[in-house]
Amino acid sequence: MISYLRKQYRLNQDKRKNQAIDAYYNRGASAAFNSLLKQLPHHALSPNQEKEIETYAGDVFGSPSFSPWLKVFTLCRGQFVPGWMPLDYWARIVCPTLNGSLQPVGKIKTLTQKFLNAAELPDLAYHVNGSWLLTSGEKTNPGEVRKLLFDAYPSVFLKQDNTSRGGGVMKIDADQFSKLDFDKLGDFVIQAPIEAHEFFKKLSPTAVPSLRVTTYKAPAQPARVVQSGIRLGLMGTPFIYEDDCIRIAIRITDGVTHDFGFSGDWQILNVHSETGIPITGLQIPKYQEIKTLCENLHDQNPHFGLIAWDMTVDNNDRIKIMEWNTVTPAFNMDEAAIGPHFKGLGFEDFWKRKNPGR
Amino acid sequence: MSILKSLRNSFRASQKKRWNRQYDKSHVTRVENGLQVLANQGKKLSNSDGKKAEDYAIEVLGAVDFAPWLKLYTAFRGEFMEGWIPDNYLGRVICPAINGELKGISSYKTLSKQLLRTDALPDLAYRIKGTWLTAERIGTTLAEVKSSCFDHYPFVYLKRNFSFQGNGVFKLYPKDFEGFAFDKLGDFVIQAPIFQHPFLEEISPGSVATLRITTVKQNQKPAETRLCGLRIGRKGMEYIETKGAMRIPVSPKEGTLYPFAIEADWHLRDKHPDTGVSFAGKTIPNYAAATQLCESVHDWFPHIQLIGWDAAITPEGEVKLMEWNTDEPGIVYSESSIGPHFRGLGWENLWKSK
Repeated sequence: MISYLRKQYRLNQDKRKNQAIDAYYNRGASAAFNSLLKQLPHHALSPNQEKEIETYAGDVFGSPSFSPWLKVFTLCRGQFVPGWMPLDYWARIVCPTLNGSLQPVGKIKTLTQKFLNAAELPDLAYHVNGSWLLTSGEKTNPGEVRKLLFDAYPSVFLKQDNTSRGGGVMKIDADQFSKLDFDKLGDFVIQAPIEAHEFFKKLSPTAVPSLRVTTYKAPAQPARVVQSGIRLGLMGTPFIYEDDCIRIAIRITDGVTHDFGFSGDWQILNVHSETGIPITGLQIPKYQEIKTLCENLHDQNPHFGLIAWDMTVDNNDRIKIMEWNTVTPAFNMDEAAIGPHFKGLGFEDFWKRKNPGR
Repeated sequence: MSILKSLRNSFRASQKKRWNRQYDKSHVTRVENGLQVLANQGKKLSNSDGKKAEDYAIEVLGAVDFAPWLKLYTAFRGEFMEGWIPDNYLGRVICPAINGELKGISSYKTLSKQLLRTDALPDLAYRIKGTWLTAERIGTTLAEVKSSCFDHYPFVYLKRNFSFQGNGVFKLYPKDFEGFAFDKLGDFVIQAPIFQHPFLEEISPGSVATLRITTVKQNQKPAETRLCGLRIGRKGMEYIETKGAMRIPVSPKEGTLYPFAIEADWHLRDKHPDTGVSFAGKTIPNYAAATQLCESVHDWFPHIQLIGWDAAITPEGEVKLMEWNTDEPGIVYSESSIGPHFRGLGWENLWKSK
């Protein structure tokens, strides 16, 4: 009796946990759906179509609960395309399966350079458990760090560990640096500012745009790029924060931006909503080299099946890595616009494994 | 509070209790057996000392669960000493609190060199999810790995990820490479063999003695060596396995050997049973270089506050690191005989934090 109760309790606990994860990753789906429906009323889903999508989600991903994003993608495109990846399935099943127990490591920004050992990463100094270190591993102190940083740059970026999507990022100058309570900030990296390439500057005048390149490395295979998009900043933002940006998908074969992008609230755009500059059909500079760099860095880190890279190019034509993501890199707008990106990789069967996502 | 909520809370509390009991189980057995073996050697625990250990465990460490190791330490030393850290307290309270989410990182032996960036690790190659990499993390092939191994060394060691205490280690000769089921082993590192200093060869004939150096890096402070022990093998051992090995506690500052080696089951030996070599008064060659290396590598990785390093000393006196341990590095043999080692760190209060 007790053991039956315990089992029921655990099952119920798992179910509640899954529901909570799905709810978290699906929280933007209905707003996206409504926003697209207003713009594309002729794409409205029939009850039949909705039913078909739910059946598909049940058959392919193991539960109709994975259908909300599939419905958004369908509405965007005007038809259902098999092979799309729903975000909650991605978060709950795919990413944990591909990256295993090292999945959270990408959030520890003070470790990035240890994994990547790449000159393209603009790290300058680390503060970890109260100790200051230079990227060389040499011990240092706040006075030396201050001199090192602000002799070279008017301002720098501070990124805290265990933050994402622009949370925990600060742009600081020498005065602000002197006033910071480092212990309160916990562990963080300080990165050099990046003066963006003319191409990016035009597209995103105040924040350096972030070029997302997602690489997948199948067991014993070389890593390859499977998805790409770009995030452009809005006026007055020093860096890209959460959904306050414009996203546009990129064709991974040649690095050209798609025919339309989206604002944070899923307004379809073909020009930057603030500057009016066209954002479609543009060739990203040094795209093939960026792809190769991401693939090479991924090949040095085979523990991870999936890595999403935030890249850019500076005004001296040098490729820069802003950060890497190993946790749950999201791609909804790109998937809606030009997906499916992950078809044929077998991710849709992961749920059938024992303890999927663990 | 609703009945359901109160049921859930009591279920959770009981789950935690069960988990703790489960965790402590092997410790309780090890202590019971150890106390018996020590008693047979004249090291008996008095009732009053047993009571002291229990009171101290409850008052200072928050639970009587932590009394067993204190009892064993007391039996070993003949008196109770304040400041001792019980092994299960280290494992279930200290390590999760101070090594945090990266506590398990050292189980990934295929990451050690990448994270620690030290040439003291003798890594030659890795196999990770079917991909072969050189120690510099450049893609390579089995044939290239083979020649890079055996052009320089007569044999190499293969260590699997998540292996510990000598499990999952294979000694490979060139002929073993043909048809070896690398695919079945998961992820692993291949390391060059280490040849040891004659001083250590005399004490641990045939298998490389492991110098365990435990460093602590407190917030804002440089790493410091707090505990040390030498694990030595018996004749016929290819490499040190926890079960058959003996430990000689080592004074952490000077590198001087304790007069006795302690077998895994707490039998004391004043001489090596196979060679008759005694230990008393001897000091490990180049000990200061070994602790300095561990401390400086630790300073380069401040994310983790407690690290147990397995070092070796080569015939030339060079210090090599075989591996690092971030998940409950063992302390009991040194802690009982020459501890306490971890006073003044505030660890006895960690159970009070959430």
